[in-house]
Parts: sequence; C-alpha cells; structure tokens
Amino acid sequence: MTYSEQEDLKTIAVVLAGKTEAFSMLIECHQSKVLAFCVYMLRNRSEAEDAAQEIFIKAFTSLADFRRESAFSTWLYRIAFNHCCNLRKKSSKIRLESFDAMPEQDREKAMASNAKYQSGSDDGATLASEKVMASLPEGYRAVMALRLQGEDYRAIAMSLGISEDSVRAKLRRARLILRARLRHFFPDLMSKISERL
Amino acid sequence: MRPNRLCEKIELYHDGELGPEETLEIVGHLASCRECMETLAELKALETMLAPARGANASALCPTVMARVRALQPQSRFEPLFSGCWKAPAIALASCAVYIICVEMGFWSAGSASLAATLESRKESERVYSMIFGIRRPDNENLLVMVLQGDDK
Repeated sequence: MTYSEQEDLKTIAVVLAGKTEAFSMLIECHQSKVLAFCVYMLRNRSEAEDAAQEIFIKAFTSLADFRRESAFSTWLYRIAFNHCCNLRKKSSKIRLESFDAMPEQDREKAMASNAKYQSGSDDGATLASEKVMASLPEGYRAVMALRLQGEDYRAIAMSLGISEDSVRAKLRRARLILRARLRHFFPDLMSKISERL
Repeated sequence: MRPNRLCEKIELYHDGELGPEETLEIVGHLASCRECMETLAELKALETMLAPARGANASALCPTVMARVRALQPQSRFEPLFSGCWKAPAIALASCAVYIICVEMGFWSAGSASLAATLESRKESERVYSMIFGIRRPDNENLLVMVLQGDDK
C-alpha cells in the first residue's frame, strides 16, 4: 500500500476531528522510519524504541500545531531529531564513541561480518554499519540517517532546520568519513558489495 | 584527468537531486569515466551496508503508543467541562483579598486619604450646623436611643 502525503493529511484531519483511533494509521505508516532514525541517533535499540514512543506521543499531543507547510514525515523527523538530541544531552552515559574505541567483543563480532555476509547472515554487517554510523558527529549522522530513509535534500533541510547547501556539504563529509572507515576496517566487505552491484 | 564539473556531481546524481538534462550528461560521462563508476559503486555499497536499521521491533510500537493515546483521552475529554469553572470563584476570592488588603487594612493610601477627607468634611458640616441652630445635629444612633426612651422631641 502506498501511503501518500495527501492520505497523511486526510488522516490528520480525521484525528483532529476527534477520531483518535485513526492515529494508529499514521503510526503504522511511519513507525519503521522513525524507529530506524532513533536507532541511528541513539545507538541503543531499547532506548530507540522508548524514544520512538515518546516521539509519537509528542506528535499526537501537538498534532493541532502541524501547519501543513511540509510533509507529515518531515515534521515527525523534526520532533524525532529534537527529542534524540535532548536525550543525548540529558544522558551522561551516552557518548560519542568512535569505532576504534568500541569494546573488543563488539569489534570481533563486527570484523567477522565478512564471513557472515557471504553466508547470508547480515548481523555482523548491521552491527558494523551501526558502529561506524555511531562514530559520526551528531549533525552528520542525522543527515546521513535521513538520507538512508530516502528523504531528499529539501526534506532533510526542513527536518533539521538547516539549508540545503548545508545538507549537501554534511552529506558529502559524512560519506567521506564512512567510506574511509569502512574501507579501512572492512575492505573485503566493501569490495564484495561493490562487485554485487 | 577527471572533468571536475561532472565528477563532482556524482553524489547528487546518486541521490537523485539532478535535473533531467544534468542526469543525461552524467549518464554519458559515466560510460567513459572509470573513477566515477567506482565512486558510484562505492556510494551504492555504502548505502547497502548502512541500510535502515533492522531488527528493531517496530510492530510493537503501534499498540503501545495507542494505549498511551487512549489513556490521554479521558483527561482531554473532561477538560472542556471543567475548564473555566474555577475561574469565577477564584476571581471573586482574589477581589476580596485585594479589597481587604487595599481598603480595610489601609494599604491603599489614596482610599484612606479620601476617607479621612470625607470624615473631616462631615465634622465641618456638623460644626456649622451647631453654630447656626445651637444644637448638635443628632445622628442616627442618638435618634434611635431617643425613640427607644419615648422622647417626643
């Protein structure tokens, strides 16, 4: 089912008219993207699930403030970005952790990703990508996470409250960092994926 | 040597941010530039590796959030019924408090000054009355005593 922005707007109108059960449609359509964004931003799945819940509750309570100047998903991402930034500021435990500083156990698991990728299991590759993503500065990670969700530059700029030029520059730098790190730590994996493509 | 103008647009091409004319230009350029082909393949590989985070239990999100949304509802449903009801007694109470503080306790200097002026003018009128008629004008209390004592005057 393709769920367009128009349908989002119709559903929002229904929810605002008092039929709150319709909000579940909005959640179902956007939950996977919001959750993935939170996973990228917070680097902790259980924390990301809690954050995603809070983001949808915030969206519900302030739905009347949605001015329809952008897509609902863009507005939702803005709430998600602000929420994740606040969480990271509050939590003293969470810190920017570079790939080099990750625990030995995780690193071994990530380094074993070549074999797992070849055998069809992608757990290692997922872990590796998450760790490498986590090593990016917050602003770059948010831009990269939204791009990975398929958002265009304009939507990313609106979600994060920055200019399109800034999106382009941050994306370029983030990719340079990621490519360098992945090439350094997973040379075989990168070349294998490139060959398949 | 790489033609910079087109090579620098590989990322934009990959992200679908170019117009139709520039896209055609890049497609033509890719056929002849091995470096750009490699860059493009690497960008695609990167995107595949960093594909949206998997394994997070998104399906459990909807029922949990909706349960919380339903829990929020009763408060908001009753809110219009009681909203504003507290305002009238609160305003009345506040008015009484302001009156007591300002007038009764004499904190309102202008009010007490005007009260003093009124009392003074009343005393003055009583003095003039007694000068003219030679008697003190009986006030209500004296009149009441006189009536109770059966004084005809």
